[in-house]
Amino acid sequence: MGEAPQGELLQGTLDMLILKALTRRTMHGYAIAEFIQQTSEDVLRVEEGALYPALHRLELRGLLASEWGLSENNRRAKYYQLTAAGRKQLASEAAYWNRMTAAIARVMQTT
Amino acid sequence: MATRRITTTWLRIKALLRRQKLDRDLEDELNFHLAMREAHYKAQGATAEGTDVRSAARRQFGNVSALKEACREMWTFASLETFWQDIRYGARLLRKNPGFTAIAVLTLALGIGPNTAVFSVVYNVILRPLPYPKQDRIAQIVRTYQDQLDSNRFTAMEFRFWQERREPFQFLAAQSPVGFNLAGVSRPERVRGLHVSAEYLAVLGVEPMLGRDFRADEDTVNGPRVAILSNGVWKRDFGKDSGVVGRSILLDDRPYTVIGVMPPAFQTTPPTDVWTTLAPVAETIASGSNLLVVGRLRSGETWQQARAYLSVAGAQYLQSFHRLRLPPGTDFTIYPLQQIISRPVAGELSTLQFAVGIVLLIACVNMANLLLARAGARSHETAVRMALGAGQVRLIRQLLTEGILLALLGAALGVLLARWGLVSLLALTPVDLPRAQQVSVDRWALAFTIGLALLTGILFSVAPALQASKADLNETLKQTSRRGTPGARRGWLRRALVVSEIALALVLLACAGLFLRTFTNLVFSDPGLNPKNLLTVEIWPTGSRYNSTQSIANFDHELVGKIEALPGVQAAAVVAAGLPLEFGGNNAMEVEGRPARQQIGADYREITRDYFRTLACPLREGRYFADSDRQGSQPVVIVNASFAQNYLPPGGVLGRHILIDGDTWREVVGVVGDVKSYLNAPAEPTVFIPAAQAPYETTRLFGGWFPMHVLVRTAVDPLSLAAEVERQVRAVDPELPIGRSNSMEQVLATSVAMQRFTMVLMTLFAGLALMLGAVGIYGVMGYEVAQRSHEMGIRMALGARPRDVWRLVVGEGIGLAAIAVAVGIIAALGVTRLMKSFLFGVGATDPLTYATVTILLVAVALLACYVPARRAMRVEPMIALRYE
Repeated sequence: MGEAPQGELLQGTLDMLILKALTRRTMHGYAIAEFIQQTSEDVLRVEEGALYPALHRLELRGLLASEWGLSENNRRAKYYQLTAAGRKQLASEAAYWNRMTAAIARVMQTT
Repeated sequence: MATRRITTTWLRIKALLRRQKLDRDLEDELNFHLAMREAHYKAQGATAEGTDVRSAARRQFGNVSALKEACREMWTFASLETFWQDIRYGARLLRKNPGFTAIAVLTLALGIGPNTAVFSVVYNVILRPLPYPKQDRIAQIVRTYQDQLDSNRFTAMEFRFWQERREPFQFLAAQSPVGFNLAGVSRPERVRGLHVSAEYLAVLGVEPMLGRDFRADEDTVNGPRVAILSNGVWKRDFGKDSGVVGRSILLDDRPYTVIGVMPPAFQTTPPTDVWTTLAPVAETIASGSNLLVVGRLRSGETWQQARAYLSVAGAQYLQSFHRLRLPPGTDFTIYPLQQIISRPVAGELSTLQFAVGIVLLIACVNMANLLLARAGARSHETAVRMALGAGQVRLIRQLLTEGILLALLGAALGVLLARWGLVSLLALTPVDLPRAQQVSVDRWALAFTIGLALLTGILFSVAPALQASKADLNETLKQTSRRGTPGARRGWLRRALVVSEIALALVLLACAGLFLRTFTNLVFSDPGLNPKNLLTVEIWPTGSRYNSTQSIANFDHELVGKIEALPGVQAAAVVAAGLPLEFGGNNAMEVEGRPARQQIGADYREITRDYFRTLACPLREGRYFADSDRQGSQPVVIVNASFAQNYLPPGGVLGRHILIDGDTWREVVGVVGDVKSYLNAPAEPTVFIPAAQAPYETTRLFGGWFPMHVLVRTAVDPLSLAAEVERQVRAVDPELPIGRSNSMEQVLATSVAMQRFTMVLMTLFAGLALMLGAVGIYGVMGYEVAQRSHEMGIRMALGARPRDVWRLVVGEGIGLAAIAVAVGIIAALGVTRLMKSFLFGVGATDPLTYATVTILLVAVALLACYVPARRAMRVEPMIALRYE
């Protein structure tokens, strides 16, 4: 299969994306990676080596809560969901991100 | 942010408690992801390419273990984890080397235990504040001569003098010890009593728990007989009866009313069972210098002010009591009570503390050596660790943990040893060691010694680690652990340590040897009398009933007659002004033939007829006293050999005249053998006069300072007759105060009790030091041999005989020992000089002692080298060489 251009994700950005991915529903780690990959149209590929440390870190900080459940194919899987603190964190990071990108865009649009 | 950290910590704690679950969950989570990926590839039809789905998924996944580690580590307190790991590893290492561990732990324990025990005694006897409120305000009045402490004992009259000048003191009191026969209780027994003036308990600042303190109006000559009980006696003999106040008890067959009981923690020095008033014995016991005067300083009064006041009062004292003929240069001052109490034994105890401190030092040196040797043996392992990626910090932390673990084990054993050692120590102490009853294992001593042990463990674990981490990894890795000869330079620290500890051991051995010889000299020295089967009873015949020579002589005669009539008694006598083997009275006299006005001072005793026979003291010339020597007949005197030697021309002794105290010229009718006052000093020149001829004023004067003693030569155990003899005394005079009854052997033993104590302990410590030193040599030599087995193999392959190898090893050991001995002897010479005042019959540089301990030390050193040397001899050249 053809390789779409890969983007490198900074740790902070990955955290934000994970939080965003979980706004609607709870997901396990694999699903989160899939979600990000698909929604970004294959531009962003999350490596497991980055994903799981990020997930555990977020959980340790109290931004995510976890629960064990059964997956679609009846396997034991760990599901993550946002906590109230997580939502607040997401909101502030998203606001920051938007401000940054708007500012960068303005600079880039000058001729 | 803070709340975030709290959340994190809390989650980590929860994870800590469910460690296995955490691992399993991580495993499951990652496996799940792996499985999903497999399914994904399967769905995509990767199998068409023949690749194993599983491994493809795995490859995509990356390093699972590293990932798991990374995640796992987030959930743990990282530092705690590694710390716990280090501890477990260290413990395993210690278990696998039981020999090393045992020696190291034992070494530390032998350093910590005795030290803590001795320091506990030192602390309790000398350093710990007295258990009274604001005890630093309690003082004792003392007399000094040329600024040195001269005497702290006063008569009742002198106490009254001080009471009239009590400005610096809030309370002033006096005490005098005595013994009582307690009766009228569940179990009659002999108890320790203390006569105290009314303000005594106020001086100490403690009130009775039950009942009340003495009242001023009770402390009078004809006041009511009242007593306060100690808590111990109240428990033992009164069954903690809360109605004991008001009860009547019998002390020496006289009724006393109990007015109070003291609280449990309270005790005086000397320890007492019953306190009673002082005034009733003012004319008898207290007419002698038997009172200690203590006071509590007024608040706001400084010690300086009080001392200045006393000095001024002292000048008045010298005037009022000019009859005492105290020399100019006499002054009066106050000492803190705590200091006075510990003064008699401070010197010996300090010596012992010093000695046991050396043992601790040696133990630490041994520990250091052991750890250094072990670090050297593990240099290979350390290099491997570093090659595998261990950081320097991690390495040091691990070695540190091991060192601390060892130190803690040693400390634990040391504490046990300290407890046990203290019990044994107390069993050994002289009975009159002040404040020894309250001794327990002291916290500060324990903390100090454990701290020192830990410090040694840490220092000598870390130092080699630092050294190792700087070493060239390549070089170390290329060598196997047993190969290679460490350069002479590298071993210098070890050797220096061994030399220093052997030298220290030699110092202790020399001290112990000197003390041992001192003690044996004392014990085998001839006291001049036969101490076996000799009973002594202390009596105080002073006061209105004994106010003339005749009355005293009559009393003596009647008493001796009654006692000699008892079965089992061979002879009896009464002596005034001092017991043999104790400090006694001294008088001024002139000798015929020597320049007049040239007075000499000599010991003075008033005795009854059979005194010398009772003591079994031989007659050298002339005769003993007889019944014909009494008032009105020719004044006579007997002198001892020492007096005759010093002051009378040989052959011209008998018939010479001596003037004693300006009284009357007496004719010398006999010369007797010397009887010592102190075992470690030659006998004092002494004169004896018959009690019937003694001038009353002189008797009364000395009767103020010394009790009279009844001496009884028995055919059976002397103490078995004590009660009977006392009864006879009471039969002659029921009111006569009786003091202590001892056998002369007890008196003898007491006079050397402190020397025995010091000797036993010094010997013990020297033994410990020697043993530790031997272990040190053994360890170092053993290590050297192990390190150089390769070299030994080569030597033997090249033709050296086992003998030569043996000689090589032993030669090195002897070389070290020789240096150590040289250093040690120099050090010992310096140290023993300070001990001169404790020695008897042997000089501080006694060659015999030094030679003996040196030979002992060298012999032990040889022995310690023996096993490693034999091991070196047995090295198989082929095996050693093959070991690449």
